[in-house]
Amino acid sequence: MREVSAGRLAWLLPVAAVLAVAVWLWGLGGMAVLDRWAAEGQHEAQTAMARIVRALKAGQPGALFSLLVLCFAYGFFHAAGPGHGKILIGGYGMAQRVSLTRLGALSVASSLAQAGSAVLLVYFGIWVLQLGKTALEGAAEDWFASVSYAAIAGVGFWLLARGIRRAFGAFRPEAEHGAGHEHGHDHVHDANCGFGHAHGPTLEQVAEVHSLRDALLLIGAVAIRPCTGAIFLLIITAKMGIHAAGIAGVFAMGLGTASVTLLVALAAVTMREGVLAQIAEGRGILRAMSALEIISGAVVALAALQLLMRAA
Amino acid sequence: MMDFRAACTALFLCTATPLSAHPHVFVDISMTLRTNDAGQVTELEVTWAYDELYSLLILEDMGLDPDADGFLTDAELQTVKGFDLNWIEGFQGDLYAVGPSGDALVLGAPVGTQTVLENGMLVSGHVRRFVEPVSALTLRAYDPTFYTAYDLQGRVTAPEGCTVGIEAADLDKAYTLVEEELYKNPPKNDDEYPEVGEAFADVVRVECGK
Repeated sequence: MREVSAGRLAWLLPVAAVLAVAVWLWGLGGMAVLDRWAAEGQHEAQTAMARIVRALKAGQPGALFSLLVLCFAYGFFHAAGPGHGKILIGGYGMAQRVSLTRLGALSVASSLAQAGSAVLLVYFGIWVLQLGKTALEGAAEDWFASVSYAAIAGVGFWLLARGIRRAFGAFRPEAEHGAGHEHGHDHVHDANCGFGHAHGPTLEQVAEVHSLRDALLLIGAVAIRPCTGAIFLLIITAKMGIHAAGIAGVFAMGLGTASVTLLVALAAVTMREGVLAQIAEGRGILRAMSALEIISGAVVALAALQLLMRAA
Repeated sequence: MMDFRAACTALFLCTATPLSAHPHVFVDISMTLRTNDAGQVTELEVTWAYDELYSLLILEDMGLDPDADGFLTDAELQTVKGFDLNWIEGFQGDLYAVGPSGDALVLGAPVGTQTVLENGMLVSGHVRRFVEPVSALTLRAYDPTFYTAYDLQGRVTAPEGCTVGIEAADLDKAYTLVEEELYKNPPKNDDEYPEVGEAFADVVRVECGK
């Protein structure tokens, strides 16, 4: 376990790096540069994908491997620009004392689940409902988007509520011990779940909060809305009769998306631990945790609601 | 039509937007203007070349070019013709024309010219007539929601006697606008999309008969 003083120094550098990136992104117009780069990259990836799919259909050797590599790139660009999984993973990572390993696993799982939902939507749509491209595209863009924003807003509110409850516990001296127990979730205790956990039982309880239910909620909120690019590829390959290649490609896209959410997870955990490392152990950390939960929860909920209203 | 982008704690790359900043269809557009004897612009031919993935999607969805060799038979060309001209009510063809006084010019319904498959791209053309001929106008081609991204690259042709000036879109500015729209607080009216497409459009200024 890490010494608190050493931890402070060790966290300073990455926190500064993340802050510098944040300043560039939102303060100096970096976000716009990133958007532009992502859109241009996506255009190129999209053209290349069409060529590879045709080569695959023609039975060209090596085409499947090329498709997988390209789909990965497409997923990366898709997520580097807009990808709603990031807000959720980032917000959750800030709010909950979840380990980088676990948050990373959540990122990958949610991206793969999103790929899975695209496969389900397209194959259910084509085989069961006999839908065409227009209906499937519309379903992904309109209906699922709204449902997904609503789900994300729900997670935000839930983080918020949890933070407020924890805050009440943290500010009442006699409740210090009970703070971690109030949540009543099905705790899955994990000894390997954090960075600075040698701070006594209270923190252990704080760290316990991430449960299977959290994981399922997060994954579900991301997965509920499949990506349009994945839908395109699946319809094309389904109509061409190269089903396995299309499905494998969509999962490769999911991994590409996950590579970006993993970066977000890293940034979120780094920031959070950096903040917590500055605070003395005990109740101070509890208070800081509640504050992080409340702020992250509020931001996630607000952002998602704003998008939900636009999508409606 | 949306993808997703949102503000979040200013800590990580968490953006996502339903529509904007994330086009899914890329179209190379070109325009040809035609004039009457008085030198006024009467009609405009628009050509859309769809990106290869979207083209493939259309073809596969329609069950055309089953061997995906990039060639369509005459019968298949007949089938695909006009595939993009069944415009729903309110769709303006992603083309916006403004007269000298800033008033929107009315364009007639599209009349399809031809649809071909070139280098894996579906290329379709259509003609729009101006309800009233004009001597000076400004044209912009864009999808307000930016689901489709139009790329003009200076492909505007006009008859002799017309001058054409093209002001390329400032893409950095456009993407900055996207960010601002998305982060704007409080949000705009509930059901209003951040319609940022216009910011990505080149501005084409045409003057004829001078």
